[in-house]
Amino acid sequence: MSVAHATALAVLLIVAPALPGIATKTRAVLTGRRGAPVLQLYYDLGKLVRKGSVYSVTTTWVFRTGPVVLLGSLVAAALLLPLDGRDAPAGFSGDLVAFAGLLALGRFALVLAGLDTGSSFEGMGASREVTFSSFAEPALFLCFAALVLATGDASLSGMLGAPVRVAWSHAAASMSLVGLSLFVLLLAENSRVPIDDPATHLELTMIHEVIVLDHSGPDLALILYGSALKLALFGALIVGVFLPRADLAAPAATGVLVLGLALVGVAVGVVESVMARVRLTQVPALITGGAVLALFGIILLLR
Amino acid sequence: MTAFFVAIGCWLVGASTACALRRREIAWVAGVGGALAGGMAAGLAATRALVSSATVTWAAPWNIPAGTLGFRLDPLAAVFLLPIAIVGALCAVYGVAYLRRHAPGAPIGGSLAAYNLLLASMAVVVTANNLVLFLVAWELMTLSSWALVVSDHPLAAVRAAGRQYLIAGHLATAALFLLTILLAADNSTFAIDALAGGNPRSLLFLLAVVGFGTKAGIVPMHVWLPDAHPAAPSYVSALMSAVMITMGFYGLARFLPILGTPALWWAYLFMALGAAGAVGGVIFAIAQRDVKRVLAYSTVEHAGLATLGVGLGLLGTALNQPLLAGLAWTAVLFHLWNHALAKALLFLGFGAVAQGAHSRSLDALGGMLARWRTVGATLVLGSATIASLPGLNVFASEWLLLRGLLLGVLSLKGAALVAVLAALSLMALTGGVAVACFTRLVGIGLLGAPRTRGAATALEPNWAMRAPMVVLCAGCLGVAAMPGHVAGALAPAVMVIAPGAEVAGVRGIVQPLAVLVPLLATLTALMLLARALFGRAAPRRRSVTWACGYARVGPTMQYTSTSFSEPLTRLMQPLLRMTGRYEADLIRLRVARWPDERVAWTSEAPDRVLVGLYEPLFLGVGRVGAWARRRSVAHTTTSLLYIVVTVLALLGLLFLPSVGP
Repeated sequence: MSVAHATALAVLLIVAPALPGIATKTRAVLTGRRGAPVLQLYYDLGKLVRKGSVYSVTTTWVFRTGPVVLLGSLVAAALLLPLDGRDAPAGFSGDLVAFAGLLALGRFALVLAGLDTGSSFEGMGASREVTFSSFAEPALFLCFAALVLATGDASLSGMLGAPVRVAWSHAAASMSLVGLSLFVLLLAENSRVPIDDPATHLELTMIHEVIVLDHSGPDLALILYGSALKLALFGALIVGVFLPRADLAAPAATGVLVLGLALVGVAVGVVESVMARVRLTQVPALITGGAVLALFGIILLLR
Repeated sequence: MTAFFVAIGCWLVGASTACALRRREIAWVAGVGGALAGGMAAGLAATRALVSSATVTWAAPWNIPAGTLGFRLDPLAAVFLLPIAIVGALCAVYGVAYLRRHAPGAPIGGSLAAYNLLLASMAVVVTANNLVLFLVAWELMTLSSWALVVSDHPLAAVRAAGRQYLIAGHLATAALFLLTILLAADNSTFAIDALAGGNPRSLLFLLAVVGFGTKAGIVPMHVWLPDAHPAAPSYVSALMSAVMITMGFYGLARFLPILGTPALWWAYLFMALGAAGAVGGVIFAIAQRDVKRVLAYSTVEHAGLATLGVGLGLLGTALNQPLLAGLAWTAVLFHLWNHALAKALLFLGFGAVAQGAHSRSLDALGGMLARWRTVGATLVLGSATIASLPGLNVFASEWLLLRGLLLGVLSLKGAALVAVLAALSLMALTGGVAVACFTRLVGIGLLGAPRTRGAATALEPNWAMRAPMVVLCAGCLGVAAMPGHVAGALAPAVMVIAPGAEVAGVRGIVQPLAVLVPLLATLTALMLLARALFGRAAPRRRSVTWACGYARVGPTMQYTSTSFSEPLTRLMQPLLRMTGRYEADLIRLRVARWPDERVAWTSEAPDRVLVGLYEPLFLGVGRVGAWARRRSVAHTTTSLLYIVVTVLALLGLLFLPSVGP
C-alpha cells in the first residue's frame, strides 16, 4: 500500500459523511428551504459516539457484531477500488466478485442484527433489504460484465483504472449506459428516493432506516457512517466510469475523486427533489430497469 | 491401497458387528468405531493418493463373467473419497448422540449398520474399476441410504419420501444399467480404465445425465431430494446432502471423458440445467418453512452451481480453451468439498435445533442463539459460508467459478459468450437470494425471542453432537484461509477429468483470494477496538425491543418466516405457484381476541417439477399400464402379442449401437 493509496483511502473515509449532507442540502435548496448544514452527519456522529447504548433484552452478540462487521466489510471493499485512479491496494483479477461479496457480507451482518431484536419493524426492513438486494446483485454484475467487455480487464483496477479512457474512445455509448445503470443501483442500494426516502420516519414505508431502529449510541454511529461510506463506494464506482484519471498526478486524481463524489451527491439530491418515492412493489421493476440499461451496454459491445 | 482396504474392512466389520449387536446397548461402539477407524484409514489413503498424484490399481480374478474384481485409487477417486471419510466419521459421532436423544433406550445397531454399509458402498463406488462392481456398489448405496431415510417409518410422510427416493433411485440405476451395457458391449471389456468411447454417443451422454444427475440432484431429476433428505435423521441428511450428491458428480467426472471430446450442446445443456437448478433451488429454498427442507433445496442450488461448472468445463474442452476447462473443473471439485463441509455443518446444527425444539418449522423456533452458544455460533458461520460471503470457504469456489465465467466473457465469442453472460447474471441472482434465504434461516430460526415453549426450554446438546460441528466449522475456516493450496491439491484430479486442461496457473489465480481472510479479520478487529473506545464513560442499559412505545412486546408479534420471504415469493410467484389456505372459524372470530389460533393461514410451495412434470407423466403411464393389463387379462392373444413386441424391441436394441452417429 503506497502513500498515494493511503491518502486516497483516507480522503474517501473522511469525505464520505459529507455525501448525504450534500444530497440533503441540494434537495433543500431546490425546494426553497435552507436545510441542514452539509456537515450535519459529522455532528451527528460526534454526538452518537459519546452517548451510551441501549440493548434490547432479546439481543445477543449478533446484534453487537453487526455494525462492526458492516463497517469492516465496507472498508475492505474500499481497499479493492482504485481510488487513486490507477490501481487498488488489495486488488486482484476477479476482485469485482469480492467487491459484490463484501457488500453482501455487510448486508448479512446488518440484517441479522436487525432480526436479533425480534421486532417486526426490523423484520420488515430486513425482508425488504434482502429482497431488493437480490435484484440489485445481478444488475451490479451486468454493469461489471459490461465494463469487463469494454476494458478487456477482469479486475476493478482495470475496469475503473487506466483502460477506461481507451474504452470511452470506442465504446462511449456502453460506458454511459453502464454509468447510468450504476447510478440507479446507487439509489437502490443506498435507500435513496425513488426507492426509499431517508427523510421520512414512518417505519412502515422504510427499508434501511427501519432495520437500525433499535441501534443506539456508538453502534448507530458505526451504521450511519457505514451507510455514508457505502454511498461513497458506489459514488467512486461512478466517478471511475465517468472521470478516468489515470493520467493525472496522484493528488490531482484524488481531488477529481472528491469533486466527482460531490457531483454524485448533487445528482442524488436533484433526483430526490424531482421524483417521488415509488411503491415498494415497484422497486424490483425499477432495479430491473437499471439492469436493462447495463444489458443494452453489453449488447452494444457484442457487435 | 492397503489403507483403503483397511478402511473398507473397518466399515464392513463395523456394519456387521453393529448388526449382530443390534439390540444391545453396546452396539454403538461397533458402529462409531467402524466409522471412525474407516474414516481415518480412508482419509489416509485419499490424502496419500492426492499428494503423490499416483494411480494405484488392484485386481483379483472374479468368478462371474464380468472380468476382474478391480479397484483403482487415482487422484479423482481420492478427491471424492476424502469427504466420505471425514464427513462420514463426524456424522457417526453426532449420530449416536442424536439417536439416543431421539428415542432413549431404542436399539440403534440397525441404523449404524446401514450407515457403515453406506460409507463402504460409497467408497467402493468411487474406486471401482469394474462396471459390474460399480453398479453393485451403486445399488448398495441406494438401498442402504434408503434404509436410513425410512428410519422413522411409523410416519406416513417418511414412508412416502422413502418410496419416492427408491423409485427415483432405481429409475436412475436403470439408466446406468443401460449405459454400462452399451459401454461394455462397445469396448468388449468391463474394466473402467480400459473404456474408450461408445456409440451412439448422444444416447450414452443422456443416459449418464439421467443416471448420475438423479443422485447429484440436478434439475429436473432432483425431485426426490427435497423430500428424502429432510425425512432422514439429521446425521443421515447431513451425509446425504454433503457427500452422497457428490457421487453423481463423480459419475459424470469419470464417465463423460470416456465419451470423448464433448459436443457443444452437452456444455450448453449442463449450463442450462445448472443455472435452472441454482436459481430454482434457492427460490424454492426461501419459500419453505421446514428448516431441513430449506437446507435440502439449498443443496439443489449448490448442485446447480456445480452443474454449471461442469457445463463450463465441457465448454472449455469443446472450444479448446484449456485454462477455462481447468478453472471450471477445479471450481466444481472445490465447490463440492466446500459444500460438503458447510452443508454437513448446517444439517447437524439445525438438526439439533429441530430436535431440541421438537419442531422443524421455522415459525416454532427462535431465540436459541442466546442459550445455544456453540451451536449458534457455528450455525451463523455456516450460514454465512453457504450464502457465499467472502472470507469463508464456499465463496472461494463460487468465486473461482465466476472467475471462469469472467474469463469466458473475455475470451469467448457468439453463442458461447451469451451463455456465459447469462450464467454470470443468474449466478449473481442466486447469490443475492441465497443471502436472503440464510438470513431468514438464522434470523427467524435462531434469533429474536423464542416462538414456542419448545424453543424456549430446549437444552443445548452434549459435546458428542457439538464437537463435529466445531470441527466442520474449523474446516470451513481452514479451507478459506488457504484456497490456493486446496486448488493446487485438486489439480491432478482435474487432469484425470480433462487431460487437455491447463491447471498449472489455477493455483496462482486463486491465491490472491487468501488476502480477504486477514484483511477482514484485521478490519473487523480495528472496528471492534474503535467500538470499545467509543462511549466508554456513557451508561449501557438493557430494555425491551422498541415497538413505537408499546411496552408488551410478545414473541407472536415477531416477523414470521413467511412474512420475511413474502416480498420475494410474491415476485417469484409465476415460478413458485405457492398455494395457500385460509382457515377461520368465523362465528368464534367475532368474539375472539385477535390474533387467535382460530385464524390460520398455511401456505405451501410444492415442487413445480414434481407437480408439473412427473405427476402427470407417472399418472399417464399408470393409466396406459392399467389399460394394457385389462386387455391382456381379457384376451390371451393380446398378452402373447405383448411378449412378441417386447422381444422384437429387445432385438432391435442389439442393433442400436451400429446405427448410431
